[in-house]
Order: sequence, then C-alpha cells, then structure tokens
Amino acid sequence: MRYRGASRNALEGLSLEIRSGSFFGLLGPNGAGKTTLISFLCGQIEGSCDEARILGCSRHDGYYRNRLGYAPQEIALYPSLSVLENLNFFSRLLRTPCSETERVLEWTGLSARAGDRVATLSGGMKRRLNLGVALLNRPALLVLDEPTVGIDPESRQFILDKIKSLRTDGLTLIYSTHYFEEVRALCDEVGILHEGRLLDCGPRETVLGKNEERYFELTKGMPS
Amino acid sequence: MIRGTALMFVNELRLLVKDRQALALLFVMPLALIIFLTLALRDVYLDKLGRNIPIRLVGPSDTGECGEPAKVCGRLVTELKRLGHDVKIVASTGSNGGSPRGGIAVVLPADPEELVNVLRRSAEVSLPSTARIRLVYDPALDHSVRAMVQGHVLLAMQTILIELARGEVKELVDRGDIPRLSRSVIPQLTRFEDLVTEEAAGGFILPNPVQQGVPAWALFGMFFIVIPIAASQIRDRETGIFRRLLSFPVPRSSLLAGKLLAYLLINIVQFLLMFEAGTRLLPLITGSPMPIQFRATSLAAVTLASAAAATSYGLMVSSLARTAEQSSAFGSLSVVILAVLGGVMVPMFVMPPFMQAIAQVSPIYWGIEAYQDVILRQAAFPVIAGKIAILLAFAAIFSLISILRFRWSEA
Repeated sequence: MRYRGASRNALEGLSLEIRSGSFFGLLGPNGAGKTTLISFLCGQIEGSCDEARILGCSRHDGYYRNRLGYAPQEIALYPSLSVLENLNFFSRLLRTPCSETERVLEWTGLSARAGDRVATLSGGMKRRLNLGVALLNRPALLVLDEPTVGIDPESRQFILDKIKSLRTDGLTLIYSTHYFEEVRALCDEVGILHEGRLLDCGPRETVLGKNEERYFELTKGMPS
Repeated sequence: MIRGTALMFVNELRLLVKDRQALALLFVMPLALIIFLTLALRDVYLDKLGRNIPIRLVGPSDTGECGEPAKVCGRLVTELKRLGHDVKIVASTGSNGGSPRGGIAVVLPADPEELVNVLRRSAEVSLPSTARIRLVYDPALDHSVRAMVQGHVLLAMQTILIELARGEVKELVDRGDIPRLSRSVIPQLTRFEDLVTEEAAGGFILPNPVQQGVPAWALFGMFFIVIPIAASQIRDRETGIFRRLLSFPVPRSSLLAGKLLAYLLINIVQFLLMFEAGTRLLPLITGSPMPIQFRATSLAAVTLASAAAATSYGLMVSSLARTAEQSSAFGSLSVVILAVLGGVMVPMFVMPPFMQAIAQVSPIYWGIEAYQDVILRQAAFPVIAGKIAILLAFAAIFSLISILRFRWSEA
C-alpha cells in the first residue's frame, strides 16, 4: 500500500487476524501506518492487495458497512451544528432509529448540551461525541483511531472507562494508539506496527512483555 | 443512493445557512455591487444609449423665455425632447451656454426665425457666423455623444423646415398658385453635417444598466461559490468527516452529489435574487424604468448552465488546493480575474478587440453573453444554445480536473 507521490510503502507484507469479540490494540509510534491500516479496513483507501475479510465480508460489502463503527483521529464533526444536529445527520445516513440518538447522547454524557454547537464544547466533550457517532448503529466492529489524542488526563480516563463498558456488548474493537499504557489497560490482543510492518502480534501480556523496551526505544524523542 | 444524496444536500444547506460570512459573500456582496455600481454607472450607460443627455438650450431672449411653441425655439425644444433629451432653457444674456459638466449647450442665434427664413430662401446659402447654431460642450464629453446631439439638432431643424414647407405647399395648393409651388424647396440640412452614418455606426444594441449589470454581477457572485465550496470540501477533508462518511453504507457519488447540488441551488437562488433586485428594486431607487424582456425557459437554461460552470469551478479549486488558505486566496483571485476578463467590471463593448478575444477564455464571458442574448437581444434559442453548450463544456472540463485531483483525505 503506497500513497500517491510517496517514496515508500505505507504498509507492507502485513498479515493479521483479529478474533471476533476481542479488544485489539494497534500500537505503534507516529507514522507507523496505523491510520493507513484503519483507512484500508474501513474501505476508505485501496491497496495493492485486497484480501481483507471482515465479519465474513469484503471491505466494500453493505452488510459490513452497516455493522462498522469508525471514529477517526480528528474531530470529524460539524462545528457549526449542534450536538443533536450532528447526531441526527449521521444517524439518518446510517438509517438508525431516533432512539439511538438518545442512547448515544446519554452514553456520551452530553444530553444537557444537546442543543449547543459543537464548536462551544470542550476538547474532551468533542472527543466523546466523536466516539459516540461511531456507536450510533450499534456496530459489531468498532474502529477507533487514537481516540484520546490531545485531551486532558481526566477526559482520557473518562473515555477509556466508557470504552471498557462496551465490552459487555460483545463487539470487536480495533483500538489504534501510540500510548503503551492505554493498550495495557484496555486490550486483550495487541499488534505492534512500525514503518508499515507488523513487528509482533498476539495476546497482550506476551506481546507487551516482550516488546516494552523495544517500543519505548522506538518512540523515544517522539511527541506524545 | 437518492436518500444519501438528499441527506447530504439538506445538511450542506443547513451548514451554509449557519455560515454568515459565506452568505454575505454570496448574497450581500453581489447585491451591493449591483445596486451601487448600477447607480454609479447609470449615466455612463444612458449617455452611451443616447438617452437623457442634458441639453442647455440658450434661447434668443434675455429672460430665458423661448417664446410660443409655434416659434422656432419652441419647436426645437419639442423636437429635442421627442428625441429623448432633457432640455433646459437658459437666458442668452452674458451666456454662451457655459461649459456644462458632462453635458452640452445648444446656443441659438439672436433671431432663430430669421435663420429659418434664410434656410428656406436658398439651399445654397452660406450662413453668416452670427446666424449659426453653436454647440458648446464639455471637452470630456464622448465624441459620439457630441456628434449625436449635433445630428439631433439638425434633425429637429429639418423637421421644423419640413413642417413649414408642408404648410406653405398646402397654402399654395389652396390658392392655386402653381408657379410658386414649383419653386418651393425644402432645404437639405444633412449636407452640412453627415451624421446618418454615425448614428448607424453603433449597429448593435447597447445594454442598459440593468441588462449589463445584473447578469454580470450576478455571475460574479455565483462564481464566488468557489469560496464556500472549497471551505466545505477542505473542512471535510481536514476534519476527517469525509473519512467518516466513507465508512458509511453510502456511495461516494451520493456524498459528493448531495453537497454539489446544494451549491447549485444556492447559485440559482443567487441569480433569482439579483435579477429581482435589478428589475424591481433598482427602478424604484433610480426612478427610471429599465425594462427587460426575456423568455423564462431560456433564462432558466442559461442560469442552470452558469451554475453548473460555477459549481464545478469551485469543486476544481477545492480539489487543487491543499489548504483552506490556498483555496480562499486562489479562489478569490481567480474569480476576480475571470470577472475582469469576462466583462463584469468593464463592459465588453468598451474593451478593445484583442481584449474581447482574450475574454473568451472566461466562462463568465459566456455567461454574460448568454444572458444578454436572452434579456437584451431576445435571440433565438439555437443562438443561446451554443453559449449554453460552451458553459457546459467549461463545467465538464472543471469536473474532469476535479475527478482526477479529488482527495477524500489529506493523506
């Protein structure tokens, strides 16, 4: 997988299997290819090899798309619209019932701010809403790309607790981050990505125990 | 697919309605330009049309009176007014008519009745300088306007002479005075000044301020749709909204079509608003009617084609630009250049031939031409269809470039 005009592959020789119902941590320093892999899985970009089977479907299958929840790294919301208007718009595109909007409002703890413009929310609230939109269709696979980037520790903990609470729903989670401790706290399987290649993959304790020093070496000097 | 397109369409409109800067850019700016520039250029256009040129007629009396309507001076006033001039009579004492700023003065000889008698006596007469009609004009006044007024004065005098001759002929016929009837002649004043060709030299019809200004400034505003389109595309690209939408079970074509249809609608609303302002509001402000005749179907076709060209241009700029700043700077600058070339700021009939040739690279030029075919020349649809086809060709080229360079994400 190579971007137009790039000198090297963004992903290369990557083979990965994620167990249904697991919380999979995709760990890697900045520029490792995490977002590229997620974009590929979510059908946003094409690669030279298109053999991904997700929930038993191809990436472009409507059934899969209907059961996929995705929260990008950026705050992918309309700042000039209210919280409720944002949720309603995405909900209608996903053809989910109105009750899901109410559920997500409660889940994010933003019911009291439903009429407020997104631009007026704090960074942590925007992150929660960004995450909430991904849950509108009660996904079977939830893909979160660095959902705690740029927020204060308190908000980060709130979001991590919220994500943990999703485990009871039986969904599969792909959680991309460069925070080692988040993967340790949240995931039961881990894959470490570096320069487009998968360095290691397997159960959390095995992979993290084996690669902790190496990972910190890789991320040394990188902004957190 | 239709549902996705419709949802994107409604959402894009909702976002636009909340964007006050974009609304001001799209509606207030062209509306203000139409009103203020039409008012500012009103006299320029009217002068070019040869209407409403203020004439100061310096009468024969010391009091500024022109005498009875039957007298030459009175008749001259009537004829000049009939030819569309605003005539103001001033006293002759100590005045040669002055040098009216932007206007023209017609100074009559001391005895206009005698002038007419001299003219009637012989067609070969050489008039003494004291018996001539003098035109005193502002040196800045356009030559064609001076020539036209001179021609109108001569035409008015000729009309007066013809009327007098007709009366004389009738009287001689009534009296049966055949020998004198055969000697009766009507002096040919046109041999003094050959203005007939100058009057016809214009040939084409010059637009009035509304006919020129409304389509031009409306198109200018319509092409400024580039700013909100680019802002929207780049925002959705930078904030990951596009990436999120791409993970939804909605075709990509629906996502894009919904957004663009919203801007197409905004373009149409823009034109309708500008057109209404030009045809209803401006005559109220200026107090002078500026009638426009058009076929609604032709107007709708040109508006749709222009909106397609403007919207696809906006999409192309947003596809080529990497940042919102780039799109804003390039978008504004390029629209202003296209507008200047296309004849928005300077009407096409004022431009030299080489500029008129260059103008054809601008879709705005074809938009103005098509609109003027509809509302000014009342051209047949096949004539308009050619220009609509060119506008649609521009839209196709812009769309093709957009497709080749479109990016859903920053990566």
